[in-house]
Amino acid sequence: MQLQKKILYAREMDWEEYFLPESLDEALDILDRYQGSARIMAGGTDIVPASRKKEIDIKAIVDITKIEGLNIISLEGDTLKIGPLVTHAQVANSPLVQEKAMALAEGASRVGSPQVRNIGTVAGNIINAQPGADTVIPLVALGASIEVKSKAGHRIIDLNDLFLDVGKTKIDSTKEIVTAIYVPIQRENEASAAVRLAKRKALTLPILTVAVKITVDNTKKIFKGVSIAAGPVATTPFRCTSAERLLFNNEINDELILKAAKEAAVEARPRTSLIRGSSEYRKAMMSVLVERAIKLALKRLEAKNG
Amino acid sequence: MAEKFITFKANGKEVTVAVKPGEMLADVLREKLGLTGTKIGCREGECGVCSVIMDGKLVLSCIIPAMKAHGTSIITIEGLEKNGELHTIQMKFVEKGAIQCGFCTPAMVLAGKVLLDENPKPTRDEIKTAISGILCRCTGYQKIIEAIQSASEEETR
Amino acid sequence: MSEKTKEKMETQVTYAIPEPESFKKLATEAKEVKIEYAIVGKPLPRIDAKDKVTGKLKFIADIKYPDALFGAVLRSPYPHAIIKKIDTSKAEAQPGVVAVVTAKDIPGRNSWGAIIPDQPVVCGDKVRYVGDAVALVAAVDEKTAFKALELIEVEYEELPAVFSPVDALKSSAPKIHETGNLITTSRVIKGDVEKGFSEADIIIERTYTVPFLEHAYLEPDVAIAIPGDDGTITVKGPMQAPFTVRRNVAPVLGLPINRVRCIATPLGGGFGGKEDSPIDTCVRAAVLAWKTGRPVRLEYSREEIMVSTCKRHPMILKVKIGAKKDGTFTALEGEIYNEQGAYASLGPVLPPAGGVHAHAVVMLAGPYEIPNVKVEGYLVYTNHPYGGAMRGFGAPQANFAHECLVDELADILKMDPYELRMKNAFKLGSITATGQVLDQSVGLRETMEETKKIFKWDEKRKSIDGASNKTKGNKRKGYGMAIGWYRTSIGTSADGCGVNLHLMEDGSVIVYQGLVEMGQGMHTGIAQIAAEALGIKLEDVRIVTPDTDSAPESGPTVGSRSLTLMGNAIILASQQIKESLFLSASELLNIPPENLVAKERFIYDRNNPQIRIEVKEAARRCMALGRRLIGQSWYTPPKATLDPQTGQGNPYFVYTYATQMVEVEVDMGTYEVEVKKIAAAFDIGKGINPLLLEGQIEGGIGMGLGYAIMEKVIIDKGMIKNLGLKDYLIPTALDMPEIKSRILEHHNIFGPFGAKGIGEMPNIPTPAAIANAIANAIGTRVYDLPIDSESIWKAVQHKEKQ
Repeated sequence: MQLQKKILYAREMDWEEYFLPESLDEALDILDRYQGSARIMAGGTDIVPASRKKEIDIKAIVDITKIEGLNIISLEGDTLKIGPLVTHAQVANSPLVQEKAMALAEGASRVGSPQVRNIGTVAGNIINAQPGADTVIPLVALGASIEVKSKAGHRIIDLNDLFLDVGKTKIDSTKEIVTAIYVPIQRENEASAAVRLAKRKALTLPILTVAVKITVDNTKKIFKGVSIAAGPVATTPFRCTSAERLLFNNEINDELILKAAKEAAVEARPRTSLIRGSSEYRKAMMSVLVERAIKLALKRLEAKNG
Repeated sequence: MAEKFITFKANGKEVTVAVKPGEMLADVLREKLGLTGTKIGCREGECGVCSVIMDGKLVLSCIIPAMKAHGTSIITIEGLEKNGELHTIQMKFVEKGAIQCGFCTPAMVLAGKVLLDENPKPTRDEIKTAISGILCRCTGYQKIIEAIQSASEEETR
Repeated sequence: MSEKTKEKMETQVTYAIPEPESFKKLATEAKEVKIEYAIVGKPLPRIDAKDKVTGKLKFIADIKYPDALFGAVLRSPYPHAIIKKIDTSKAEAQPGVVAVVTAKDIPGRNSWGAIIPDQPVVCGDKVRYVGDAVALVAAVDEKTAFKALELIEVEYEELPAVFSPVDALKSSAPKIHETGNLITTSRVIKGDVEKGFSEADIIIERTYTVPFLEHAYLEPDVAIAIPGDDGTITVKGPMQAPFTVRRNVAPVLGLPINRVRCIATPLGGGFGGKEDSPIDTCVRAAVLAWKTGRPVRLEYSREEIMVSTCKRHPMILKVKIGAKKDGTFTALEGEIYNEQGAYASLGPVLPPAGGVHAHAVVMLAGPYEIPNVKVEGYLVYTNHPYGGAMRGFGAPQANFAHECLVDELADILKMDPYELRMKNAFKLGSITATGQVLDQSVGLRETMEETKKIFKWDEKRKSIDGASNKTKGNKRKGYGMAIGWYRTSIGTSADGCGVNLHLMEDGSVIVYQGLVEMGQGMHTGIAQIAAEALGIKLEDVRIVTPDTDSAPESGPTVGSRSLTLMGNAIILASQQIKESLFLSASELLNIPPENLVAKERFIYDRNNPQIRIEVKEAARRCMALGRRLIGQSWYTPPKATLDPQTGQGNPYFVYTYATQMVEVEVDMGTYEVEVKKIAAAFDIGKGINPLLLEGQIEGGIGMGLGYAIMEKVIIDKGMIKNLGLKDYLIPTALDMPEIKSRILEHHNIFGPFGAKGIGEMPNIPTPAAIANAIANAIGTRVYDLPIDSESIWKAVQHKEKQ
């Protein structure tokens, strides 16, 4: 074993080329030319540190940040459309997102640090596919989907089906470019919330992140739909389907919420990590955070409708 | 690896530099433009001492490829002094004792500038958040926060 | 006043202004001394502030060395192994590789160390921790150097490794060094603890553990070694101890010490780490420079710094205390397993009381009057990264143990922790565990009273009496405190420092000295002292970059010694210059020299201030008449004593005292801790610059907060898991509370203008104060640092089960 592979890193990345295409089609052409050894880069906050540590091998960087029109957040009917170059800072500060998809705004506001939020993109966060990513967990709870374009055309993938493993999605980043993220907006009887547990108050990955989206009936006494996402408790973002089932069509009360939270803790399977903590603690915290997220979303629902 | 020329504004002055695809902005600023006020502490974007202002936003120059700087406007600590006169934020840092070893100081001052440009009367919490991505091991942050607060109370900057 | 004190006072340093007579009186009264000076005592901006805030000040990495070769180190991936074979031929054959160095290539002594040179420059026979150096490479650039490392072939035979001091002391444990795994045993024995415990109404015994910590200074370690044309070699870089570096580089290269020059460039933080790490980088860069005949630059990446450089010593501290019902302490017994790691660094005893180990053992009994004390400490090698100097030097570990223990005792006795401490805390005249009589400068109780006032201790503690009052929403408040003491300087017989002061004929001054500026403001402090002592202005003083070629031996910038010792040396040197100045001035003014006083660029008749001349006029006259304008002095503090068998003596000549009180809020669901407020008071003798002092206080408290709740080097089978600042967590701005601090000035007769050290005191009581506040919130205790949310959860679970 060569220790220096873990501690000595070159100042310069060993990329051979760095392209700044002016259109998505140009970008796709470059990807095609490089047949798997080129990568799309937006902010670079994941690719650069990974390249430095030689965790990925890239010959050509295709930096899409000079392409016009890709950093827009817009409302299209019942859906928020988030462009591939939209940054965490944009999402966190967007009144539109705060109103229509609060959990996402919350999640984005907690990514790393202000500097990272200024440059890092939501699309990049998804592609990086960390099971506890701060924007990914809310997006999964909100039922978002992602659209990618390749030379073969477009396809849209539901985030619930997107993740394969730590760092791996169904998207082939050497062939496909993210063109949009679609987030169904919160309707009348809906609210969302994201909560997080971390070892310090900034510049840190979460020990645990939980996001929920709740839908209630017109009387506001029954859960009509609940979506609970959490991470990192598995190799991919985790939907607590068992807990969700307990709540569906049932009366909203503290006991039920606690029962569901405990169920979420049972179905989650976090490993013991030297850095993040023991699996027992993380399971216990699942229950605490799920309960808090649900209650926070309910409070928002009340506030919204007066 | 082919070098390419990029052009950008460094502290208001247009510069053209040859950079390699894998070179980071921090190294270009420091080695090629002699702007050594920007420091390097970790090379993975986790300490913030490399922070500079790019197109009005605070960013981590050690993990930003130099090529990205093409066509942008960058401000480093060297760009704050005007004709030998310190920027108000710099004066406050000196006055309030917000500087100890000085390694995080350029980044902290720039973070303060970006904040006050956007939000002229920040709360203490907003100041803390603005500098939350820059680590300081010497000061415990108190006087840095005071300095930025005090600068926000000055009428003209 | 005792004869001993009188005697000490005869040899005390005198001052530019106020006479010694008045001080003799003051030292015997437990009161603060408040004297106004022109420059000392003023909250002036630091002298390097403008250069730092504009980015103009150059750290070593900001200077270009275009001719320098790139150095790199090949390191062992095993914690304990024999090097069977090493083949560097492929690496040497690589184009662009100028030299590959293995053990056989070291020109002189293949070892270095701050106290015992037990660490190989390059390991020849075996490696003792993951990261131990096995070969050095100098190449034309980074890429080539890294390639060369890959091409060096090393065959290791793994040996069983040992990772705990308790295991390392077993007879079956693998021997890490030839001398055995036990480096030293230190002890303190006062009175008879058996008898003391028999007199106690209550006895409690607890075990505390504290982990490896990383200094995490923001400026990475760099060394530039430049061979000279004249048979000398210069090594430059950030270093707290240029003289220590020099006396290691010389024997490694086989050179006399006077052929080695070490220059300390401005440090981007040190905290004790850069007392040791520069010896590492400098000897290795120097060997490469010597071998190649060319300048060599060796820079460690952040990850490399974490793997290879020194850490804070982890310890297992067992403490037992006995007290009467009314809280009077009758006995304290302690046992410390001090994990040294692979190499000795600053751990071993440097007689009589120097080194981390001796210090921790002396400090364990705390700032309390305890008639019977027995402490035994074992300093033990393991196959882990090694402990060196880190702010507090063994005291934070000891303080955590005694302050948590005393606090728990208070709970059991149902006494206010403040009252219990007040009952036993040092005051003027107290006798320490080593039998030292604290006959001057003891402001401990006053710091307690002051902190209590600022913090509103009684009000706050009463507000949460009864568990139900504590929880609001999900959160519970807790209030805790800790007190502490810390020495000024290092307790070695070799402690001393010199200075050369040159006054120019225009009234400006150059100070040649070897203590360094690492952010603490020391250069500003001594500049203020020089200006005050000479009667000039702060801007007239220039402190030259510490350079062993021009500075007299000054010792290391450690142990909170710098301002005090160097300040005294400067005052003594100034007196020599003032003799000449006042002689010339008296001739010009026709006033006898004993009536003259110098202040802010003027020398005047103290009875008739209008009769005056400028300092520079007197200086010009001195130049013209060949009178010396050079001051030179060597200052050594009062002699340290500590009997190695009994631990009795006066190990350190004066102590700084502090109290800290903390308010925390614990989330009772996630067990996250938020430190909301900290109040603190420090008796520092004299605040030379209150603005810089506050900075030290706030920064030190920040480090203490990190130790308390988030910092830990996570090691598994000898390999560090949390490399880099991403996973080794230090406090960010959002983690820091509001801090209110006060400075008390209980005059130190052995300090410049009464000052004593401050650098390390602030981070010492913080971990215990926070731990005690958390205990107050959750109703149970955590005995291991860091007290993070998971450890609180475990403790609460454990309590609920019972």
